[in-house]
Amino acid sequence: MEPPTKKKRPNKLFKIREEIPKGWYLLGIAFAFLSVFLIWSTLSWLNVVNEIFLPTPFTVVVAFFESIASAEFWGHIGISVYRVFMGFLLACLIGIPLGILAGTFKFAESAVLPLTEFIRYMPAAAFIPLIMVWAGIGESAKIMVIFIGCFFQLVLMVADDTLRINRDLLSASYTLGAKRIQVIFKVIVPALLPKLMSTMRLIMGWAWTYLIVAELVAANSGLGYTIMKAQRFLDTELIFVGILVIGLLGLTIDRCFAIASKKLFPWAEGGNH
Amino acid sequence: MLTVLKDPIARPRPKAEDIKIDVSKLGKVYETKKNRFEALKDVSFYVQNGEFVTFLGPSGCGKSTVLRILAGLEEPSDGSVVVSGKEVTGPSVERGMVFQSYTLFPWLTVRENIEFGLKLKKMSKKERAEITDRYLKIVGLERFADSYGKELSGGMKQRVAIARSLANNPDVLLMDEPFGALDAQTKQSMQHLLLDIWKKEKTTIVFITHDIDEALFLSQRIYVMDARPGRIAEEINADLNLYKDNELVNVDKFMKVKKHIVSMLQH
Repeated sequence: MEPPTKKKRPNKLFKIREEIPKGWYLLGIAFAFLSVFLIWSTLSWLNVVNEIFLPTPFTVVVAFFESIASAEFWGHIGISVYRVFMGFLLACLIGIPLGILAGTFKFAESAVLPLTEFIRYMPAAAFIPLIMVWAGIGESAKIMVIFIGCFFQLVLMVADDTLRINRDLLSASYTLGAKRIQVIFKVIVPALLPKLMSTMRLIMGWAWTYLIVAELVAANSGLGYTIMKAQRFLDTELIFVGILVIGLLGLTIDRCFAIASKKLFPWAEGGNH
Repeated sequence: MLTVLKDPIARPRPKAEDIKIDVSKLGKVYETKKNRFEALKDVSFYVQNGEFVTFLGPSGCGKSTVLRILAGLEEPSDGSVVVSGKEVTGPSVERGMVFQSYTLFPWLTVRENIEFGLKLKKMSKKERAEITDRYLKIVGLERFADSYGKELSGGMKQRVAIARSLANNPDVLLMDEPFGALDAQTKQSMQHLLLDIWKKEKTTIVFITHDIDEALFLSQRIYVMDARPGRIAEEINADLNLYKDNELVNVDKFMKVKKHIVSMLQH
């Protein structure tokens, strides 16, 4: 008999959904970051694009450190973070209970979901002129923009998360002697928490987007305002710094959510990173 | 020895005080604007105190609906359901239930899961611990008392579900294809465990399955169901000494009964 012909195994790196060695994964990350950096560097240092439009990485880094060395810039960061958190918190305080109700009782669903679905498609940014008429250009106006941007999405997502809780889990608790109110607080709420955390994480991203929308239009403080101001003076490197700082803040908050989720819900199955 | 009766009600009924579950003329209709689906029609049966009764039938025959109505999770459209002399009007601790899907509360440890019902009863901590320890031991999960559901296998999860129901000391244990999702080996060992528990605890058990072997191995009596509309086709006496020490010893009789049930289900 002939020996079995040795067939070459297909390349492991390109197997669909298959794990790859950690080193290769890190290499992928490094490659992506480096490519972006290299393209940026070539374009700016070789003056392919005018420096007024595309500053060199070096100028941006210098501008970054100059910015974070100034108290004024931290003031802008502070006020932006404040607005994001207030708008987000307000949306959570009202939106989460409403979402849970809508996902629990059909009656609440009928009262909340169709209306929310409708308003959700009205762009939050379009409300800005109206909000300025109502609330002026003070802090409450910016918080309101963020609130409107987050609230309706949040209600819908929380209602959906609540609806996805396994029905048998509720049935089981009934047969173990739980009354309705106990089913809500001892089963639905705890079962919901990990999903809720990732929903909040997502909404937090939206909050940052709407913050910038609000600050670009009408503000004299905050990160969006610094970007606007930089544009007026053609300080492109400061626009870069503003965007970069917002990205870093977002990333930090996102990581905090992820870590808190892991610490608070060690029992949750997968999808917690 | 095989008792095959056309109408289960025609069989001499045990004395009233021996009857735990008494269901007569049960009907369930699901109605939407366009459709009318008769899930159950004229279902009558009884379960004796401490008896192990199985409902066997193809999917769609309404056997799970029967169980959910017994549990009080669904309302019948017609007929009456009496458990321990009382009409069933809603779910109750007196009727524990084990589901096919894993219903462990994932945010609670095994111990806390078993304690869930006891806590609702406001039982003292000491009493709770005693009962929980006892059932942890019965289902052989002492070592996993502090584990969460995600760390357990399917069979272990169902053991917790059984322990959790039994800890509440229910009058009746309702089981809706509890081993349906388990692999063959695990299923077998769970069946042995369940029989041991039943013999020890003398709980009345109503068990749902579509597996003929499982029904014959576990139960004393079998109600074979048929679909469209869901109804009881036949009552079969399964207390036939087919097994000894969990081993099949009376193969001939087993085959005869099994063939009969298969022919019933194929018709």
